[in-house]
Formats: sequence, structure tokens, C-alpha cells
Amino acid sequence: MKLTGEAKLLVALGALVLFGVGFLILTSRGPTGPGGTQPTPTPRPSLNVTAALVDEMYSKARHTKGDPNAPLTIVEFADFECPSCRTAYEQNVKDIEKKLPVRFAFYHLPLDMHPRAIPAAVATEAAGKQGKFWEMYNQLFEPANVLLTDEVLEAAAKKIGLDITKFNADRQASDVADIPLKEREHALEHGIDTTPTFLIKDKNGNTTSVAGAGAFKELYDDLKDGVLSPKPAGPTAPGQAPGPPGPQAPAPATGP
Amino acid sequence: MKNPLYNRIVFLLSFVGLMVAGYLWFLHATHGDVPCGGSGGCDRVAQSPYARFPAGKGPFVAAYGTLGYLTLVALSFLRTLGAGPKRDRLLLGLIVLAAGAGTLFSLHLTYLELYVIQAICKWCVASQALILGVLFVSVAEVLQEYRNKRGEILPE
Repeated sequence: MKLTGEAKLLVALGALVLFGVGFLILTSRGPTGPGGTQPTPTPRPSLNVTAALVDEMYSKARHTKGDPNAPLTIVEFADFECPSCRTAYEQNVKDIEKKLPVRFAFYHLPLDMHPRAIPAAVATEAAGKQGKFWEMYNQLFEPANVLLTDEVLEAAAKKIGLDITKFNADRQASDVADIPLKEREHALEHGIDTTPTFLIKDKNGNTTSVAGAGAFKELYDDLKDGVLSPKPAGPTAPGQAPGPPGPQAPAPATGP
Repeated sequence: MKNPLYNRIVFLLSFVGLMVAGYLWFLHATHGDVPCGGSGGCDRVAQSPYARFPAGKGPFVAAYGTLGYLTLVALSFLRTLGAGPKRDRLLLGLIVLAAGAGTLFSLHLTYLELYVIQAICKWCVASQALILGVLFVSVAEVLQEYRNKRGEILPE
């Protein structure tokens, strides 16, 4: 079939748009593609993951699960509103203590770009006051609870059987409300400014850190024996810093 | 097609829409974060159950958008292949129908963004503006054709 002049013109226009819009989209994605890093607003200390750091983070964590003597240690820094954290939860983190020989710890790292991250983090801490932090953690990462409105938080609290009056009172208490902010500061002091970030130490003392659901998924299968394989994205020698951080640059200094 | 300018605009807007919707579909499929200029609204929209249609269980809304824009690109391109006036009118009618359906769907999504999810995604706004543009231009062409036809039948 021979194209008319008008058809040829549209093909040319289409090619122009393809290049123009393609260029705009690629430049809006940042340097590392989907799920890739965006530049951080302010320089942070570089992340230096040592076995001692992972152990310290684990031992100081408010919330841990799994066998405390497990060969593998994983410390997660996450935000309940962060899509990549939610993906990581769905893919690998949910019931991780049943799937890996791991002792697992969690730190809050609520990003300013996520307005419901802090209320959600505070809700888990209020649930923790009633001994149900992990139940609330699981609830808030469930896909149905993505919006994290006050109604969703309260419904989740009811679902796991919390005393709602106490839950709401605890959410207002300053000692509970400050926990996520303090944990965020703690993370930032160590150069952890991306969610989700996982610090990992294997049974041989090798360490690494990965950022982003995709990077953690890639590493996950190698962790089943409690050993970091030599090929993962980040270095595995003890004390080495990981590769470039993952999917979300936080904006602790630049609120919405 | 008496004035090809209308069809060129429809083709261009649809092509841009195809790229935007296709990109969002790709991001969904690869679990990528949607860049949103730091506002975070895109994440909230993309992670909400309403990113799928039917909500929470159907295919991604971006997939419907991609197919819709692809249809519009194809229809507007077909009009340039020397079809007769009857077929041209049929193709234009189909464009108006597709753009109208797309606009209604977009309005529904805008309502969800504003009142249910309470977050705005700039990519969705861009797509909504594009489909509205397609509808506007294609309806303008229909009206122009109608006026031309009336002018031919009832010369002053």
C-alpha cells in the first residue's frame, strides 16, 4: 500500500513526538531508570556498612522478629507510604522470618514527600504499646490499606484487636509520636536516606546494603542459606559500602 | 477530509497520550516509582486500588489508556490513507466516540483523585488534558464539516 503525502507527514510527526516525549520522560526519570535514584537534596554521609554497624542497629532496634541467634541479620529502614517499600513487603519481606534463617529489625524512615508516613509510623508504635507492632506493620503494608487515612489506621487497629481508646490516646502521646522522627534522624546520621534500605550481615560476617524492592528481590534468593553470594549488586566484603542507593531519595529537609 | 489540520492535531495529541500512558503502564509492570517532581502524589495514586479498573483487581488503568490512545492514533492515521468521504466520516465518528469515552473515564479518575485518593498525579492530569484536547478538536472538526455541508446544501 502506498502512503499518501498526509500519511507520510503523520509518520514524520510521530517520529518527532517519539523522540521529544521520549527524551522528556527519560530525563524525568533520573539517572537510574524506574525505581532509580533521584538526587538527594543535601549531601549525606556515605553509607559504610560494617558487621558492627549491622549488629548495633539490630541490638538497638525497638522492633525485631525471628530467631535472635539466626545466622542472617537484616535491618530494614522503610516508610509505610513508600511504594517501593510496599512492593518489597509484598515480594519478600512479608513473613520473612518464616522463609529465611533471619533475625529481622525495623526502623522508621518516613519521607517528607509522603504526608501519611508519619501518622502511619506513629500508629504502629501505638500498636506496639499494646504488644502488636508487627501485626500493625503487616496491616499497614496490606494493599487494601494503601491510603493510610485516619479511618484506615483505626480500622486496621480494630482488625488486630487493639483497645481503640488506648490506641488513640497513645497516638497523641509525645513519647510515641516522636519515635519515627528520632529513628529517621538515627538513620540519616548513618547516611541511610533511601527507602527501603536493607542492611544485611550473613553468618560469615559479610555485609552489604541494598536499596529498593528490586535490588532486595535480586539478593533474596541468595540469602536462603544465610550467606551473601559474591555476585550481588553491592559489595560483600565486611565493612564495604554498598553500590548506589535505590529508588527514592527522601526529602527530610524539604517537606511537601 | 477537507481540512487535514484537525486530524494532524488529533494524531499528535493521541501519540503523546500513547507515550504517557505506555510509560505509566511500563512503570506499573516493572514496579517502578512514578517520578512526580517530589510531590509524592503520583505514588499515592499509583499505589491506590484505583490504579486498577475495576478497583483493586482489574488491569492497570494505564493499560486502558494505552489501548485507547493506540486506537485514536490508528483511527487518525487511517483517515490519511485516502479513504472516501463516507469512510472518512465513519472514522471521524469513531474518533469522537473513543475520545468521548476516554474523557468520561478520565473525569471519573479525576473525581477519584480529588475526593477519594486526595492526591494529584501530574501524569494523570497530562493524560486528562490530552484526551480532552482530542475530544475538543475532533468535535470541532465534526461541527466544521456540518457547517460546510449545510453551506453546500443551502448556498446563500
